Amino acid sequence: MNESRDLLRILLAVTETSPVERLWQSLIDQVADARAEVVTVIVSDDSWRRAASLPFTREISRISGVQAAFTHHRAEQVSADAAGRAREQLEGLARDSQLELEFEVVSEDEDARVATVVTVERDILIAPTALEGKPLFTKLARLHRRVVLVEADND
Amino acid sequence: MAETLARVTELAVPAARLRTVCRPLDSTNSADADAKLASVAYLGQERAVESLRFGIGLERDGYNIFVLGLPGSHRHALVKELAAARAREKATPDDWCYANNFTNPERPQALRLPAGKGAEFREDMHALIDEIRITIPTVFEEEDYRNQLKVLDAELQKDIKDQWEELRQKAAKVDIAVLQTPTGYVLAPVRDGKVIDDEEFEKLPKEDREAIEATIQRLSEDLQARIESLPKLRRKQHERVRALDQEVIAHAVTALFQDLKLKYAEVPDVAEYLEAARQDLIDNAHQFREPSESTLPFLKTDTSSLLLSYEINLLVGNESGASAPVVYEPNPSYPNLIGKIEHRAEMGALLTDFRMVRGGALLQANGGYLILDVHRVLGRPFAWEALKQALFTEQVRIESPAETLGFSTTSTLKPEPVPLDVKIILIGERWLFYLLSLYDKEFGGLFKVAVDLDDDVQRTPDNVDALAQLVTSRATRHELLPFDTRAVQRVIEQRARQADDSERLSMNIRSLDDLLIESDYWARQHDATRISADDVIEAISHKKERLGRVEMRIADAIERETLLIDTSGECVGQINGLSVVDLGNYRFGHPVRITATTRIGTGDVVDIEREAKLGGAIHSKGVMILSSALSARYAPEKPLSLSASIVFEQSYGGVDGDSASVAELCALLSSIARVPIRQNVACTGSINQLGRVQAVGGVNEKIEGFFGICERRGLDGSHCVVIPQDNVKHLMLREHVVEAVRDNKFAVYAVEHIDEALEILTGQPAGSRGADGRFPEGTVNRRVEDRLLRYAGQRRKFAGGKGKDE
Repeated sequence: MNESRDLLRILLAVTETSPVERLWQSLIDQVADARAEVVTVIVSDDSWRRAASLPFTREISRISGVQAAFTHHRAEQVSADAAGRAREQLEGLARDSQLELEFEVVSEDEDARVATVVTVERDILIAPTALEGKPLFTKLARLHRRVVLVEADND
Repeated sequence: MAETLARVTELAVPAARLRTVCRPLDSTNSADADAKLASVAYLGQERAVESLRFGIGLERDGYNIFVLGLPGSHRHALVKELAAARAREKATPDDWCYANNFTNPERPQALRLPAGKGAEFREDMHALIDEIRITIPTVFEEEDYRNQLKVLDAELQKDIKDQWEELRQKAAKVDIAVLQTPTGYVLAPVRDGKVIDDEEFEKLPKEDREAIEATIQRLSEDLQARIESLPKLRRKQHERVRALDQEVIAHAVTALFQDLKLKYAEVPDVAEYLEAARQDLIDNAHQFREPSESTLPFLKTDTSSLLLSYEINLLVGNESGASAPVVYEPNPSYPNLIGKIEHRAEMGALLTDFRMVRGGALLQANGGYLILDVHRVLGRPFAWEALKQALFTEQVRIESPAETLGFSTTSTLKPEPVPLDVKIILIGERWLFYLLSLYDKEFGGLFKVAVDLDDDVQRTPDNVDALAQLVTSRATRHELLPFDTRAVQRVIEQRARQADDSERLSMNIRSLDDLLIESDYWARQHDATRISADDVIEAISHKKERLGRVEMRIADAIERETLLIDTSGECVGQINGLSVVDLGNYRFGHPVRITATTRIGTGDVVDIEREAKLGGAIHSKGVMILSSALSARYAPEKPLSLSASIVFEQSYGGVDGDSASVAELCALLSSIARVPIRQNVACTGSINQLGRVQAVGGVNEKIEGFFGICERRGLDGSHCVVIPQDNVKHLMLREHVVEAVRDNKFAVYAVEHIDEALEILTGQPAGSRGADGRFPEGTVNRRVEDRLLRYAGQRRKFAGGKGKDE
């Protein structure tokens, strides 16, 4: 047994709308008492930009039901906010668990960038079920011995 | 002259009549002294006591009582004693509590309980609250309850999830994705699992594009409807949880209330309240489960603070079987009388609730008697009006004065009024009673019983003996040395002096106590074991000395001739009048020089004091009377052709009263007749239009005042004072003055008519009209008449007529 075999290499994939706490809990369950090297990939959702490019797209308020135009600016704002929030949340959880995280932000279409993230064989990929079936998921799942999917909250 | 002297001598008051000494005390009365003792304090007050008994006994509207009497007349003790005696015959009044009004918390409800039950009910509720405090959290922690709650929560989550899933599936079927932004949803068309962008969209056939837009529009409306339905779902869930809470709380607390409901079944107010409290607990069960979190501490609603609303505020608690209350409120301010709503300050806010309502003296005395000092009630803002309001409405409404006057703009409590059945006994001086009777039209209807305490009693043998007993009992009460018989007699004599009347005895208990206590002090200073008459005399003279600064200053000024008073020789138009200075707690007399000047004129007697606005109305009246007496006596058939001026020399303050009118008339007659007046005589007395000399006040102080000045300068037997005959009965002069009279060093003359005064003052016969209608030659009156006739002739001459005097 050498040190490298005790080290768990984990890739945590997080989308903007992922249930971060559930994903994190899953990560903690996997790590247990082992040492872990965690790379977090925040997958920015290209859907915002695409939806915003359509002239009839509206954002409907969750509280009031009021509709407003969904512009490019709003799409970028939503995307950046979501990524930032996910990162902040993960950093907070990592602090509490005394784990060190590396962060990468990739877009679903950025093949080259995805390739730089998935260069070495890892032990576990933890990802939300929302990613399953997407081309990006296939790319991320490559070189991982095991995949753990976490159910998203539909509410 | 010899005849005049003889007449004057007859007018001298014998030394024995200058001070009526106390007769030997009847020791046989001491056998039943104890029995009499209780009533001795109310000696001579039979009429007042009867009135008070009547007022206390008559329990009808408006028969409240006003006790009129001077301070120190034992008014409070008398009222308390008689009220307490009657109160013992009355039933103990009910207790009153304030409790939360669950339907309108701003109006705390008043609960009536039988005497003694108020405090018990408060403790019972307190114990109940303690039990509830333990029971409720336990109920919410029970597994059954939690499981039911989880089921309800899961049902809500499922409802919501179903809604979204349904929409998502509906959208997915028509290739529309439902995307979630941080604040809402976006519906976008998808192809191959990806949202299409504008380029791809534009490539679609027009019909497809229109169909997508229409679909998204339809789904958006659906989404909107679902969003709008969410609050309804949550509300429904909330209601179900609330119903569950109520069910479990009802089950838990109903049993707790049961015992109390049974115990107080016979008290309608309480039975009703208990049911309302139980229902309120059930209705608000959810608050115990989810205390609201507030950043402001006073808005916290944890279980303990929620349960405070079930506490009981005992407003009036009586002891079962005790007599009706007799309450004396020494500070009848509005809050002390009516009650108040207290506030506590928290974070700069003033908060209150039913527990902070405090009852005042009216409620404490409800069912009994409330004794108040009227000057204090009138002196405290709003207290008098509030008292009348309570008596009129027969209820006590506890609210702030601002609320009563309608000035309050802050929302506050309006406790239910408490029915009032109390008899008010006001104690005050007579002038307050008369003022209220005159100016407050409601007063008469509310205070129908006047109890007028006498300030003094007749000096009968029985009363003297009773007073002697009172001296003994007061001495015992104050733990004083025993008084020997002569000391008691000296005290009784002083009571007569205090009453300003040798035939009456002052019943001012406070001043009696003062004299006894001070006599005791001086006796102890001399290491005596009994108080003697000398100690009493010493106490009297020391008090005079302590308070006599102003008197001494005036005496010094006279001695140093700053204030000009002659006590020897004779002078025309100048006389020694006598004045009394009343400093409230001390009175003294001193001589004052009165001068008169006369000249021919039109019959005016000028009162310089009045002209200078220093003379009071009574003094002016006295001068007018003497002016009239002068005309009637000396010029009945001719015009009074005289102008005269009368003045109190060196008087810089106000002058009032008519007690100098005899002196003023004598000075005037002296001036007219050019007959000098003896300056070793001082004179006091008022006069009527017929020349009759009438009684005046302060005669003892006046005589002693002149005596003091003469004594300083040296008594030679010529010094004397002229007083009205009617004042002889008031004489209670100090022993020292009486001794001087007995030794012929000083004299007091009592006169009935102005002529007698004139003869003493001038040493010449006054003269009476003879058969010819004229006064005899050589008399003072003849000289006056002659001078006035001459003036009349001269006046006629000046006016152009011819008189016989020409």
